[in-house]
Amino acid sequence: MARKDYRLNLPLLMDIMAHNFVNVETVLYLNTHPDCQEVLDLHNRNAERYHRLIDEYQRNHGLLYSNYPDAGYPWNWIDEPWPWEINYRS
Amino acid sequence: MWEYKKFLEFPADVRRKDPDLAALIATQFGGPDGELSASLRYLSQMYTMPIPEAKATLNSIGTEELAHFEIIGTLLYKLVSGVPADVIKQTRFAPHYAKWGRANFPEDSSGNPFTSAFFASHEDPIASITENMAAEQKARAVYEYLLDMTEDPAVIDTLAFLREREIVHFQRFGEVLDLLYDYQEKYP
Ligand SMILES: [Fe+2]
Repeated sequence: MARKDYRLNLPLLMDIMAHNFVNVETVLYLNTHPDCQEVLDLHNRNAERYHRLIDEYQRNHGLLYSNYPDAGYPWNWIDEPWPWEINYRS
Repeated sequence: MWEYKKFLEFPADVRRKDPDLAALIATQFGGPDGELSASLRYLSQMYTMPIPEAKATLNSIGTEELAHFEIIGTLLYKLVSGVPADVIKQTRFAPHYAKWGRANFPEDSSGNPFTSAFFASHEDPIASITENMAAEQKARAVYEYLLDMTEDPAVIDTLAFLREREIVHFQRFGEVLDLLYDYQEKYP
């Protein structure tokens, strides 16, 4: 199969990073407040959106997890840029 | 186990190259109150915690600190990458360059290498969680010292984010400490 032209999509990546951060926060909070239904609902809603965005990114722009079941040929986990090579405010 | 996500927890940027600043920020890569120290402290302590809230908190915060280790590594990389040796020669980064070039190495701002002697891991959960609360305050203080050392708005954003995380971690460890006292009262 011809190689798909995966390309960094910075706005989508930043959106994923924002949803990931909400997840970091809800997890830490729930670890010490396991019976807080309100934050649990927020956690689940955010995680659902996170997984939809991740799926969209991995289908069109490259891998964010190395175990994505539809990785590109040739093996596109190694594609640059790596996170430390991106200029986020360009 | 751990799995890498190919993005940062925070979009760490720098406005301009600054090897002098890199030499200072290095202390949060491999210094006593740095992110590697924090991560290994929590990920070492988690095994023997008596309550599930404490195990989970150490696991989650220890993991987040590894993401902060990567954020600091990103700042250091961006501050020195591509800077010519004859410019580095005039900066505080020169001793690092003489040993490692522009590669990151876990060390403090004076070039002392990372050591696990920076932290403790006690079976006594009160001892460990109290140590962690102090560690979060020390890390917050170091971020404030570092914020005094730069005017780069992108670096300031990143250091301010990391400083805020220390405050959140302090809060969560405080909650774990209360839960541990409740537990000890119930099962003395
Ligand atoms: Fe922390």
